[in-house]
Amino acid sequence: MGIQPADAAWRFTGTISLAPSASATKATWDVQIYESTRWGRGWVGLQAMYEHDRKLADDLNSLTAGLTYLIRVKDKYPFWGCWAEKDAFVRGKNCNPQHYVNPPLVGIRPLEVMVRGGPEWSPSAENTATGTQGIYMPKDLNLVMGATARLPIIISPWIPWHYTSVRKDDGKWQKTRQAPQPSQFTVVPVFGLEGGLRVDSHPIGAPVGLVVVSLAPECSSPPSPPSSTGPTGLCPSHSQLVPGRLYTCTQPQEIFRQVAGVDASLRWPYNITKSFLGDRPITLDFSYRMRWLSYAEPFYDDTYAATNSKTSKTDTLPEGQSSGERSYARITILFPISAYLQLRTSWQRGSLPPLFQNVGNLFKLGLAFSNPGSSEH
Amino acid sequence: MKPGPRPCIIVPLLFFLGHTLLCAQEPPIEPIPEGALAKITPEPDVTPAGPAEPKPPTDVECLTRDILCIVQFHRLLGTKGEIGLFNKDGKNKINWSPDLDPMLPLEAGLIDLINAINGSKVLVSGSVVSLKGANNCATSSWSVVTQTVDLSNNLFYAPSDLTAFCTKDTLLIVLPVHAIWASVYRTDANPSDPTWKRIPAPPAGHECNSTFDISDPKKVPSRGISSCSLSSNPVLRFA
Repeated sequence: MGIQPADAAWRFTGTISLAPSASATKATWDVQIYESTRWGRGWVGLQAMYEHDRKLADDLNSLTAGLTYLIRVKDKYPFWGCWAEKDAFVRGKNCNPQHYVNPPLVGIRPLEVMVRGGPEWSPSAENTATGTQGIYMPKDLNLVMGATARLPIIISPWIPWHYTSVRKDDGKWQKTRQAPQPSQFTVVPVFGLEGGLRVDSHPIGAPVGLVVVSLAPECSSPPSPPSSTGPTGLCPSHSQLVPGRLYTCTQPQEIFRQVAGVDASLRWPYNITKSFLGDRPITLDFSYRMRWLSYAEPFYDDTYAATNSKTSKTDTLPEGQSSGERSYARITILFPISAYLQLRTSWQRGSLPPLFQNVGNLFKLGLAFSNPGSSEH
Repeated sequence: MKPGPRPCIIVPLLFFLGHTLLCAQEPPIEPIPEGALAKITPEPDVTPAGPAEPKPPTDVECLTRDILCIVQFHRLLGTKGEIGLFNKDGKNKINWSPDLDPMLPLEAGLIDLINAINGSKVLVSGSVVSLKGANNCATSSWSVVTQTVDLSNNLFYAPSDLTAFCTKDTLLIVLPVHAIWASVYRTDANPSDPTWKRIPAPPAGHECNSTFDISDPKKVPSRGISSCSLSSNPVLRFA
């Protein structure tokens, strides 16, 4: 049978972004689709995201997609184990003995292991060096596979206003705990590995060709002269960049990253305006990822100073490559307006693969469209 | 450059990991505790040779026996739609059964379930979560956290997202997804909300046959869950 009721699996997100410090208001939108279905012992899924901006210089025009397979270890029960309200730690089948009465105080969901593979079509950032405006970095195509493990921990604390007085049969009043939001606080540690190959990559520094004249603060240690690097060789790491030397470097073909991080969510139902705004909770999401790169990968950051080889002027060096650590953090607040519309505010800092473009402190305000049946971590 | 593992090592490692997870031996099935999850009664695998044999009726005793019972349904299977339960082997197979035939003895719980499905907005298939002993059923707000075969994420349905019905002592929640497990939570409703309504009882049975005399109290509707517009809707007909 063809049609399956997987409407909750489709997620369309549109965002209108406002950048107060920019000379012109940005308007970006992205579409994210995640479709999955049960296959074997886990779920096979397709994940895709497309980003677009009306301003040509900010148009990432990037498409990332991947096939995923997710397995939950021992997923017969909602919780692998829990600390119930009055009990010590118990295993999964004893975590919900009374069903709807109360969620456990602390519940540990089954361990999730996801294997993911797919292409990374890197965005095309504009070269900001003087005289090169309008010249865009060539796009790269990577094939990357990864494995990630997540352990969701659900916390439903005792909050005084979640208690209500109920008159019993004997006429006495008794306070009982309610659960307007079953999972109020969620913490999910994440660990993973990513590896792959570059199918098509452009030389770092091309087509401008830049000469480094000063280094970023974190690269201010005395550089050691590169032994086998040159205008067309592999780029040295940042600590090895030599001022005054022209660099146009090829990228290593290998990709390997170690990933660690944490996701956290705090959900709070509307207490006063529930009649107007519905019973979907306000959600505060936090996400942090640290990637340790075993091989040098590109970065895009306009804080690196350099001399343009064409104009001989000191200018920004927006692009380079290095190994080491790359971090990314995001805080998002979602205010549901209806079952289909949410007000979305987010703050981002750091960089993400494949281009690792440093977003600085990026603040976004927008609207998001989604389906009923919100996803719980 | 910092040395690191090479892709020729990584890719086989990931394949090995995937193969290990996919082909791991099925763990022994533990007995499901009373009331912890829907009772699942296995059926013998029926692989008829030659003419099709009638399917054995699906055991939906969990509707009246267990506190929480999850029944799958599909409105386009058979002539009247079919209900079923997940097979116990953990391979996501649903044992569909034409239990909706009016010639079969129907328990009261099953009739309510049929009427609840017909009263929902689920177009094709999904599941019904039946919760017995639901105190103050009609004057409560109910929410559900569920794991489904349709999406890898756990889904949270708020009260306004749900289609729910209350019988004498049972809550029936119709979900548009095939739920593997479900946790149902209750809070007091907010009757000061001008849009608040009591959770209704399941609607009366419907009859697709236009010649059916609805004024005759002795006649019983055919108790199907198939959409009455199935024959005239080309999308549903070829789904």
